[in-house]
Amino acid sequence: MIADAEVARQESGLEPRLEAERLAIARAKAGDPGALEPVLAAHAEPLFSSVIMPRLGDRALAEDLLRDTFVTAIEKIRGFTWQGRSLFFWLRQIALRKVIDVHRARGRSRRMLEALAGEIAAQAAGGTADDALIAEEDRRRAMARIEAAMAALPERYARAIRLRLIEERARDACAETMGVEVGNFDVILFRAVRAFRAAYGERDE
Amino acid sequence: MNDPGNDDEADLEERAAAEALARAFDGEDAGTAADREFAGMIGAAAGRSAPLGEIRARGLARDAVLEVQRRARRARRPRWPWAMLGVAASVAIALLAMRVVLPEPAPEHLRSRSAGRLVPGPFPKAQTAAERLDRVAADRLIAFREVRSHARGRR
Repeated sequence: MIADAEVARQESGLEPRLEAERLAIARAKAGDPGALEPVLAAHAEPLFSSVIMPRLGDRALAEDLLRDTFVTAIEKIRGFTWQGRSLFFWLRQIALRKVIDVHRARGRSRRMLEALAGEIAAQAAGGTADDALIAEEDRRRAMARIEAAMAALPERYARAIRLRLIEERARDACAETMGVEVGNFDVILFRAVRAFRAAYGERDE
Repeated sequence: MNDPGNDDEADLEERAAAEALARAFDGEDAGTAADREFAGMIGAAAGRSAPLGEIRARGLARDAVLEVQRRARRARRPRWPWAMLGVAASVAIALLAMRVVLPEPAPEHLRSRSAGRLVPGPFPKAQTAAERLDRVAADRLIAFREVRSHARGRR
C-alpha cells in the first residue's frame, strides 16, 4: 500500500505533502469527508493568522468563520478541480468571500468591500508559490492597506496606534514616549482608533 | 475628527470610553465591539495576534467534518412520516373548518317557509290585516326560539 502510494507519487512528480493532499481530496470526492480533516487542520493556522484575523480582528468570529470555510470546502469538494497546487489557495478564496459577507452584513463601506474582493482576484490569478509564502503575502497586503489608512490620520494618532497596537508597548510606556499622562494617552488612542475605523472604510462617507 | 492636540479637553464620557478601550487592549472584555475589532485587525496584520494552535486547528477541522456528516445524515433521513403527519393535520383542520363554517343543515320544520301557509286565502272578512301580521310575527318568534334551542342542543 505504502509502496503503491510512493510509486504514484513518483509518477505524479508532486512533493509528498501535495501528493497526500491530492489523495485526500480524491478520497473526499469519493464520499469520505473525514479524509480532508488532516489537510484542513494543516492549513488552519495560515488561514486564521494571515488571511482571516487581519481582516476581521475578532478572534471568536474568526474561528467561526474558519470552521464555516472548512464546512463549505468539504461540501463543495466534488466541484474542486486539482490544479497541482495546494488546497490552501481554494480555501483562502472561500474564507475571503466569507469575510466579505461579514463586512457587508455589518454595513461596511463599498471601498472596503471592493478592496477585499480585489484581494481574492489578485491571488486567484497567481502562480504556484508555496502556501506559507502566499499566507505571509496576504498578511502583508492587509498591513499595507492598514498603513495606507493610517497615513491619512494625524501623526499623533498614527503614532499612538503604532506604539500600542503594532509594537504592543505598555500603556505607561506609550504615554511616556508621547510625553503625556496615561489617561491622556488613552484618549489619544481612543480617538485614533475611531479615526482609523473611518479611514479604513467602516462606513461610506 | 477631534483635535489630536487637545486630549486634555475630553469630557468624562469620552475618558470613560477611552479607559474601557485601554482595558480591552489589556485583554478585558471592555470597550465597543467595533473598536476592539478594528484594533484586532491592526494587531493581526502586524503579526501580533496569538496563533490558533495545533489543537484548536485540529478541533475546528474535526468540527467541520462532523457538521458535514450531520447535515448529510439529516438530508438522507426519510421524510415521508413527516409528510404523512402534515397531510393528516391538514385534513383534520379542513374538516374542523367545514364543521364550523358549514354547519349541518337544519331539519325541514326549522327551515324557512312561506308565510302563505299561515294565512291561506281567501282571507275571512272578520280577520283584519293587523291580525294576519300578528299571526306571522308570532310564528316567526316561535321559529326563532326553536332554531336557537336546536343550535344550542347541537353544540
